[in-house]
Amino acid sequence: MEAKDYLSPDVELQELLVKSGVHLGAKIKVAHMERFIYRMRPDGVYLFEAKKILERLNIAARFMALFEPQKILVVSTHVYGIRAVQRFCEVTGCIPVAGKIPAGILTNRTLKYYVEPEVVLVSDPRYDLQAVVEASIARKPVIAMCSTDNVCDDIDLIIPMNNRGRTSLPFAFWYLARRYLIERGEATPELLSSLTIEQFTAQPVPGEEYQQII
Amino acid sequence: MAVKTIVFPRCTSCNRPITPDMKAVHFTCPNCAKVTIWRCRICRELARLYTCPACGFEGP
Repeated sequence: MEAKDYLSPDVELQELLVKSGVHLGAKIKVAHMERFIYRMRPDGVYLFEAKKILERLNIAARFMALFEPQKILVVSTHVYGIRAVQRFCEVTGCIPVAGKIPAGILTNRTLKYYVEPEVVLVSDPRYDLQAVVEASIARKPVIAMCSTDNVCDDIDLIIPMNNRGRTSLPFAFWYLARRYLIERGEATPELLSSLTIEQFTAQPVPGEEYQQII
Repeated sequence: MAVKTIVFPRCTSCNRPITPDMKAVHFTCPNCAKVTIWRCRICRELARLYTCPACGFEGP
């Protein structure tokens, strides 16, 4: 009897990545993102290469692991990124900014909420432009999750991926959290097994639609 | 009388000297963490590529 071929962890991870739609881009292509694009689908949507996405996520986690968690600012204004950022920061201990970015958070020392991080992670440079501009004034390196139509000025490390999906943003933050803990040497098998993508996904509030109609 | 010289760091992309008043940024290489990479304001705005001299990593 032949031994059953099991998929390697990398292949399984790539399948999960494709299922979550992380490799999907937009219908617009920007020159900055051209080198990450694998091909164009017949309906005009550009696709990223799954291997490159995982490679970049690994590099980003390795880079972030050089800093203490209290020195990392994680920003997401996007609806699907808010829960993911909150959970990411619960797990790793980073500083979360989920929702509106208060002006002067990186530049105005007189404010109560002023923080002085060493690296900034944003989920979309277009939505989180305030954080990117303030980081450039404060001379902090910026890691950004970029789709095919994002302009990449003032960004020091690009993670090419779908940054507007309901499942893609939670996947990216889940994977980053796992890799960050592993790189820092804080990961235990129990902790890693307890982390699931569902915890990073935004859950619909029951009765929310009813309230909006009223 | 001894003459003191100041050596400015140079941008990894364009190799221009970076003066203290420029809005430049520096960080260790994200891939190998052995070399400090400097990026000047213009190269950051134009998203010019930088290459790590130690490991060959190409960013951003």
